[in-house]
Amino acid sequence: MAARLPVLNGGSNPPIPREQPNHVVLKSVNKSFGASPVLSAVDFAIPYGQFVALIGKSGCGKSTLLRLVAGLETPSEGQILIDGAPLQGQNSGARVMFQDARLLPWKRVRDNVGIGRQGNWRDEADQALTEVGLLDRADDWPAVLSGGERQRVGLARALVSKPRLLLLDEPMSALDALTRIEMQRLIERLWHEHGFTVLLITHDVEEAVALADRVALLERGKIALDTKIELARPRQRTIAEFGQYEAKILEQVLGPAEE
Amino acid sequence: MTSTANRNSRNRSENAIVHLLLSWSVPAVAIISWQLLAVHGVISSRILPAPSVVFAAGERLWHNGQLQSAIAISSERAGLGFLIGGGIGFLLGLLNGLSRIAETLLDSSVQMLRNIPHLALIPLVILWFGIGEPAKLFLVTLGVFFPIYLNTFHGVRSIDPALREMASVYGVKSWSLFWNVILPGAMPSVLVGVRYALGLMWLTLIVAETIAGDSGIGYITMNARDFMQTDVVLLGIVVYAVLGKAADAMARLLERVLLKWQPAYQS
Ligand SMILES: Nc1ncnc2c1ncn2[C@@H]1O[C@H](COP(=O)(O)OP(=O)(O)OP(=O)(O)O)[C@@H](O)[C@H]1O
Ligand SMILES: [Mg+2]
Repeated sequence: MAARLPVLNGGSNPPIPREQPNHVVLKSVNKSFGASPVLSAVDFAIPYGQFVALIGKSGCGKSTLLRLVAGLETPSEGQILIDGAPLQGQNSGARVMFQDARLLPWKRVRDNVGIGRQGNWRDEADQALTEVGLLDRADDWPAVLSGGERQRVGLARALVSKPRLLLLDEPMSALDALTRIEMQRLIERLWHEHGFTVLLITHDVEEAVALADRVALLERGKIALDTKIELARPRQRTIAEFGQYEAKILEQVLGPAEE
Repeated sequence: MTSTANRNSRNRSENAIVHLLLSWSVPAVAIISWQLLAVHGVISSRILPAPSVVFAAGERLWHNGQLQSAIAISSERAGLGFLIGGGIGFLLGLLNGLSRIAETLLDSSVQMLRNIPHLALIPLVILWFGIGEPAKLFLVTLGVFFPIYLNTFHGVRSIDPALREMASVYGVKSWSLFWNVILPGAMPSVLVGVRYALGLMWLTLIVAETIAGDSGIGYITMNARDFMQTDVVLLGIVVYAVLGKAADAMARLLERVLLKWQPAYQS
């Protein structure tokens, strides 16, 4: 599959420095809370425009890694480079989608999407809502939305600033199977159109194989597996290769089957 | 489709009327039997004059202007005390909720003072201020302050940290954070404090006016007691009840407007 070229959407984003191919680099990053280490000497690089899925057992430090990249936590040791420069404070070019949508219940959908924006944010918000197919709910309160709709509003909110890096922390894990597939397609399509870099955390191996250019497994504080998924898009979940990727990753996650 | 909608809405308004009738039926029966018992001399008019007599007393006081001026004075005291005490409580609650330093410095002192029942200060307040306006204003202010302070503080502190984190990821800071996240997030709790404070406001004012009054509704009732005018005493009680109800209705309206995003207030 051809390497994805970074796409610039105009707007307020600074130009991408082209001397180096990687959007995000973790350089021997350690992170511990008190005495307990969560990440130990993690080296990981994400090229511009790549869709990376990070999987791993619960509590292995996936969210911690994502929060480090977002600048919500600082590494205990090591460095995080964004566009080749060390990350200081919050990563303003990145947007995070959380497992729960985290909408402000006292703001209507449109105001939630436009939060933190200035200028003609209403039009921008409406445009983002159109992209996720929820423009007709712009004047509703979040309380009346379904779980899937809330996550789509969360996605619109993440998109409205035209981020170059999207950090998704299990945004689909609370959705039912059908809504989840719909949401996966939506994210894939928007990624295709906008060309941002994606780090998706998931515990669903099928989701990882369906969406990602590359799947990484986090285990005992280290990247234990890092495979490219060389399947053409749109991906058919029913073909044999898909199952082979899935089986290979699952085996690594669960360890070899014992008799 | 439309006809079902019509039928539904008609059903709903019929339900509302039935509900209204039912909820007022018990007080209505009580007042009618009270009137009958009083008219037939079963209850002595010294103890409990008939509702019609109380109403007549109200008319009398209205015509000579006493009632209006008493209501105006009492309401003004209540409102002013509420604004001062509520304002200080709200600002201090915000300050201590937002700043750990302010909390360490001030909160434990406020908590200590809270344990003194403010009505216990009446003798002291009379010594300080006499029985004039400042005494009553001071007591109402004090009574209103604590519930608003506590609920504002609690409201700010109980805002979901996940929402604050989301706000910071989306670049919402300082004034915008306060206006878009902290204030609306604390509002449900603040309004609980407001309703509680309105109750305390009237209670404090009644006690203050009764004990240390030279004007206002409490004064009228105490004065009437001296002349054994039970009807006027009852009138004063009714007026207090009506004013209390009005304040409560205002608080409800405020909730309806400010918390319209809550599912309970929708549709
Ligand atoms: N702020 C914190 N303080 C202390 N410990 C923390 C903190 N954040 C995370 N941890 C610990 O770090 C470990 C990894 O947490 P993390 O949230 O990254 O796991 P995860 O891989 O995202 O798990 P899940 O799949 O369940 O979301 C856990 O043991 C957790 O208890
Ligand atoms: Mg997690």
